[in-house]
Amino acid sequence: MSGRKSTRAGLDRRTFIAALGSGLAGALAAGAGRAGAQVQSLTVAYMPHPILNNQIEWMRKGAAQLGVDLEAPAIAYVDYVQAMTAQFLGPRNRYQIIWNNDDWGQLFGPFLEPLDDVKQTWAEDRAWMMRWNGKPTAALAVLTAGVMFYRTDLVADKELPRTFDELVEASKRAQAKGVKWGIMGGSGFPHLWFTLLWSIWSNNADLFLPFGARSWEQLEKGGWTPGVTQKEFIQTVEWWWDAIHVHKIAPPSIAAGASRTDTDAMFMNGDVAFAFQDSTLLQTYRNKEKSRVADRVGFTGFPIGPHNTKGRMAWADPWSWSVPKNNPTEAKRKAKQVLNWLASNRDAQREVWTKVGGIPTHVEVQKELVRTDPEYRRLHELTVGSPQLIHSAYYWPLWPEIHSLASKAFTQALTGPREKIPEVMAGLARDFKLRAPVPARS
Amino acid sequence: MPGLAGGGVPAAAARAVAGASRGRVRAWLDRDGPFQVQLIALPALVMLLFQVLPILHGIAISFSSFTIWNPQGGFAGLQNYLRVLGNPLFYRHALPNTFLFLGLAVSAELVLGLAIALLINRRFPGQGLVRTLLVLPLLVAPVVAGLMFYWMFNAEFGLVNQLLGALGLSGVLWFNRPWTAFAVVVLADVWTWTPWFVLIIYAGLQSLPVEPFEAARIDGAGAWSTFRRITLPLLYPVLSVVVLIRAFDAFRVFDVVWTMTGGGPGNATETFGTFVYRIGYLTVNWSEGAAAAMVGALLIVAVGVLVYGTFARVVWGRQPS
Repeated sequence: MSGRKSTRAGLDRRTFIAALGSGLAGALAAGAGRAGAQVQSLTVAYMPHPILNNQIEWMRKGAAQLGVDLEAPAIAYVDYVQAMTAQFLGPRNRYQIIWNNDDWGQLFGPFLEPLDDVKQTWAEDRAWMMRWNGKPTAALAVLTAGVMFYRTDLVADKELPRTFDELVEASKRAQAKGVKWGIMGGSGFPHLWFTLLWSIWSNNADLFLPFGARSWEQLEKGGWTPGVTQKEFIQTVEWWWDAIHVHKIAPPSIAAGASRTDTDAMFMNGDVAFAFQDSTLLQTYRNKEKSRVADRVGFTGFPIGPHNTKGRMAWADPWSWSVPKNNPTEAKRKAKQVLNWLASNRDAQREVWTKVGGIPTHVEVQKELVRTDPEYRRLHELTVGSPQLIHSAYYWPLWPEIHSLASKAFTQALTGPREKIPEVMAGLARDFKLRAPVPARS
Repeated sequence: MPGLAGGGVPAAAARAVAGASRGRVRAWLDRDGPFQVQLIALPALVMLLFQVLPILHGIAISFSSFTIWNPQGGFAGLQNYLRVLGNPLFYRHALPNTFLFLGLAVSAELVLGLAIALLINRRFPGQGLVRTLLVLPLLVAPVVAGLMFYWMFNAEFGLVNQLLGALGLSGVLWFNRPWTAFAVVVLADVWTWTPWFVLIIYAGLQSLPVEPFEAARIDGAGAWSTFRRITLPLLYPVLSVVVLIRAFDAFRVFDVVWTMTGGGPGNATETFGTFVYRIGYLTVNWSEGAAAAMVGALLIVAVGVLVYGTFARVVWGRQPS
């Protein structure tokens, strides 16, 4: 009888161990081989969104010209930051190009390759926060700007509201014509721009004072303090409370922390007259396959509140592409080539507007569209050309937490009694003081 | 050259030594003990690499100032733990909500799971189909279940409010009020996890010995009495395990809460899982997130000891002789 023993399934032990060893050795050899191989494909990290889908199409064309395949597995927004964390800290450098933004993407700086060799076709005043150690870390793709969409069949051009009070009246008139709700916007984290934030900034209020300070240096220099207990702030929250509970022009779901997906669903279903959203949703709203109001979509700027003395407020901040530092040199070189091609490609930049509704970052393309396209000129004047152009995020580490706390307090204020609003905001101010002070990001 | 040709004395000696060595290795491989060690070695290595080391790494990070904006980090002592424990969101909302959620969800799942398992533990037409249908929710990922319930209870488009409307009742703003939002979150969890209780308890029922039940029948015991004095005590070991596992799971609930309410309205449904996620990922403050996770680990151990201790007392105290 042989000295060898078989497992219960009849597998010879030595064969089993040999197969296991060979498998491990093979896997290691394959990994080593791949690490040393010439770069033939690049993988892009992005979330599904009209503007990013369009950019990926263009990126594929650029990569093909450079003889590189492009893989772009979509990542759900809720998982995106985790996926990037794994990319930055893990041993496996899966992505060679990643999408990011000025909101949380500004914090990725230490892990990103300097992109000073990518031709800068955008204005620096829209991109200063996307730098690390003085060097740019992002190639800008689009400027995202919030606007107020409206139904052209319900609201005539001459009736477009310019103030908070006019918005209430215009909403009531639209509701009298049969639409369910007057206004809708996202209020849950991270969509607070489309309710509270646009309205406080349009009413001379801000989360922190001094108004408009966005870097930690600016805030410290100005002797920062939470701005959420100021009368302008409180009155803006009360305006929303009244819009839901008194005027009934806004759906109560805003008080529950509605997302911008809720806004899209309601507006495209024809249930709301005014919707606050990024302009990058324009062509989605006008898509007949998705929208019941496709041929009745207009947009305008945000109305202003009673304390605003500076005129219409707007923001136009970047979404961009970056290259994680922990990639092999050759992969980074190829990735930068693709980004250089993309950022300089005027056709790709034109489509940011024509196919999606966003603002191109390429300054020359912006000028060309202002000359040739009246509707783009209108968007440009309402946003980039606004008398009060601000940044829509704070550029220091704990901004995402501040954003989240503000969103929670807003929904808490809207679900409670009106007279408790100052108390809720005082609690938010305490939270801000407790959580906000941290070292500057760079 | 004899050595190279293989016919010389030194080469033969070397072959003999090598042969003897191979023989010893083969003999060692063929013994039962080492083979068992070899089989365990790989899973143990995987556990070490993917569970033990990450936990140790997490502990180390929790004492550092390692964040996305400061990846070099540095020793921070107890600073992160103090920030976690001093965060009102943690002690005022996340912790009480988590224990409330755990108590409500696991209790409801246990009662429903036991009831359904008892119902299907008897012969009836279509038994196989019913059993299959009952486990279907287990195939739905919690995040998908969360989204389903979110849209079902949506104030504008939700099926539930449409049904209430059809019955002449006014719709409810489910996610606007703390208690209704909390109830919907618990309901989604109960819908998702009750089938798991059913499955395990049903398997437990199937494995119970028949003799005590026959003896009870002969003695004229009623259904309730049989259930209370025989079925339930015999099931205690199974119940203790399912409750313990689900208690751990419920403590770190995240998907259904995040997709449905994001912890709102306000902080009404903030749980420990969403709190850690908020700190660790939304704020991208890894060291504070790690400290929060470590605090949670200690709490979950305490919960485990409490639940298991309670069940152990009940089991040993009531086991039929």
